[in-house]
Amino acid sequence: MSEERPVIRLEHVSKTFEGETVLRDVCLDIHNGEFLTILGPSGCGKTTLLRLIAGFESPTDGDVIIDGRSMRDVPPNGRKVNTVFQSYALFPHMTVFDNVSFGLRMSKVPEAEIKDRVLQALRMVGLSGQAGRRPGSLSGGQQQRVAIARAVVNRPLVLLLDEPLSALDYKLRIQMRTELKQLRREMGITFIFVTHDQEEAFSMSDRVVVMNEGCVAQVGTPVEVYEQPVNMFVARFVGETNIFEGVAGQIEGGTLHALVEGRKCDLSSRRGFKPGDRIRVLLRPEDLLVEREVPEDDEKLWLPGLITETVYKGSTWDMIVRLDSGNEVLVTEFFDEDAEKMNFQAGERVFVSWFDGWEVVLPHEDDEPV
Amino acid sequence: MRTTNLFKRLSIGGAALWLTIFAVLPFVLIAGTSFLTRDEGTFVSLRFSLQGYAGIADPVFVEVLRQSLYLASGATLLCLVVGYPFAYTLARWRGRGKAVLLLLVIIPFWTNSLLRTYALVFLLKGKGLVSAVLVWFGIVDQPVSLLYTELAVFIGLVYTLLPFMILPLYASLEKLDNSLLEAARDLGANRLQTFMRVTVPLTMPGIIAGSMMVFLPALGMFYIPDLLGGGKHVIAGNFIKDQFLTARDWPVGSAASVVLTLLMACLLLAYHASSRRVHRHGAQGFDGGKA
Repeated sequence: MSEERPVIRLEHVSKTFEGETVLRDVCLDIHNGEFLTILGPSGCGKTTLLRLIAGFESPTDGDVIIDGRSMRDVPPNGRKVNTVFQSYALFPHMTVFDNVSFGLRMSKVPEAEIKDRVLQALRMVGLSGQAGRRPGSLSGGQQQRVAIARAVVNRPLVLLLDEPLSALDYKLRIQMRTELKQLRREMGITFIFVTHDQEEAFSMSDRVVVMNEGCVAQVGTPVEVYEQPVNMFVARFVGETNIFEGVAGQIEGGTLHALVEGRKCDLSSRRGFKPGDRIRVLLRPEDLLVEREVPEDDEKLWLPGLITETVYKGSTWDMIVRLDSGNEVLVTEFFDEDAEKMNFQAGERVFVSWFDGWEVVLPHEDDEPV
Repeated sequence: MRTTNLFKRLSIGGAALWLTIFAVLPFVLIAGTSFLTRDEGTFVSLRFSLQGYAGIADPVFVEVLRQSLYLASGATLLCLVVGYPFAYTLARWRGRGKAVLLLLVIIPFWTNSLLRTYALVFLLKGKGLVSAVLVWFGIVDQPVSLLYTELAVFIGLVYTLLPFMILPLYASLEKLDNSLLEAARDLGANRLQTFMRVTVPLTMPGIIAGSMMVFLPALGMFYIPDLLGGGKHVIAGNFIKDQFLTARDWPVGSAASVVLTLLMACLLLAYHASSRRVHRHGAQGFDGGKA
């Protein structure tokens, strides 16, 4: 990312509601022009974070800095950000045109310019012909577009989107993802998008902020977050994860000698572990390999197990394998031309391993939910 | 299915019967009487005449009507000014005690309003509580009597009718979606602009309903100007009462009643039309992909 000044900077932001801590010491730089998604389960504080930026709440501690200025005591109407609300919050007593022009009227833009800008914004979201209608007579998808037009017409520094797609049906949601991405590219403004849907987050964002219990768990590109989760929460929240228990041994130049599922194994890890530390080895279902027989001269750790279930999913073939250690793992195989390998059946004995270096090694965290 | 239908018919039929006997029939009788002739012995004689309406064309009645409208609109405005902030606060109340506050609005209904008006007499008179408090705070030097002033009439009307303003306002403010207010602020509106452009238009049905429920009864509440205004302030209700009980001129009293009723009907029609307009525009449903 560029070294220029971040468009929004959150400095040690905390928020407490009636004694309950909702956000804890959140620090985050948001770069100009990026599509940033705040991802987390409900109650993780992601919406509160957005409301702090919009100015609907003020931080108990810390500061929100927009465009280099502290936003302490700056009301929502004094901030150069606009929000697309989850419920759209369109004014029911106004036409689409009056809804979209509301912000421009408030900032006293000349009437002639208002008309041009509103019509341009409506054209951008594909609602040119609907200017005279009331929000109540529009479909959910159309209302969504009006809400977006009403926000972007003000040319905010940052557009805040609070789970804007959650009220739409599946097909429309997929379509709106692409449209939002295109819109951001056309306008070049920063988007901060809040969602609990990992697929939504990954398919649109430049960077993802994973939140858990009021704290930022990880910030990174979708690829980083998926492939190198920093802790068990992120690994579990983002996609399916298989976990192998282990104990660390000596480290030799990036190679960690360890015991995994009670057997010797060499792992690659950038983290430091002391011999004897309990570890967890994380592998995505598509990182796992399944063979009927252990290939000859193979250095890999091959764990024996029994296929208990196979699930055909169109483009992939999923298998649940119960390892002899008792651990159950999910394996996803993509169809390829060598179809022979795909004919695994429930009840077959197999050996499971993984592609070298694709594993993520994390310290064992106690007291965590399963 | 059949029992619900029977229940529906009975309940609606009962209400309709009640209204026919106790509201429509009396009005028909009054309307009929307004076209009859005054008779010293039997109050009215069955001869058609327009004497009643000629009687109210009198400047006295016009003045009474003017004063009624003045007092009723003044009371309505005062109720709105006092009631709106209260209803707003009540509707946005996050903490406990909301039910108690709402109860406080309703409690006055438990006592007869005539009794409460007598209570006001004791509060407002020269040696009354209000005067004592004013003296105690040093706002006035001498005990003052507010009784038999226009202010007393307004106090009485507002006191009696305020709940009728607060309840519809509360109902419409309660329904107001907070995210709409946030959206307005987000789009650059300050508090006042948000209030004027979003809150007021969206609670207009409540404002109109509350105003109707204050304005219409205020026109007829003759005992409040009688008791608190000392008879100096005559509203339409007083005039009608006097025609029947003092002047014994039933056709004039009836004609005045008919005029007043028609006036109220016009206001109700106007309210109906405006609320239908607001409701149609206020519809926020999702019409599922109807493009």
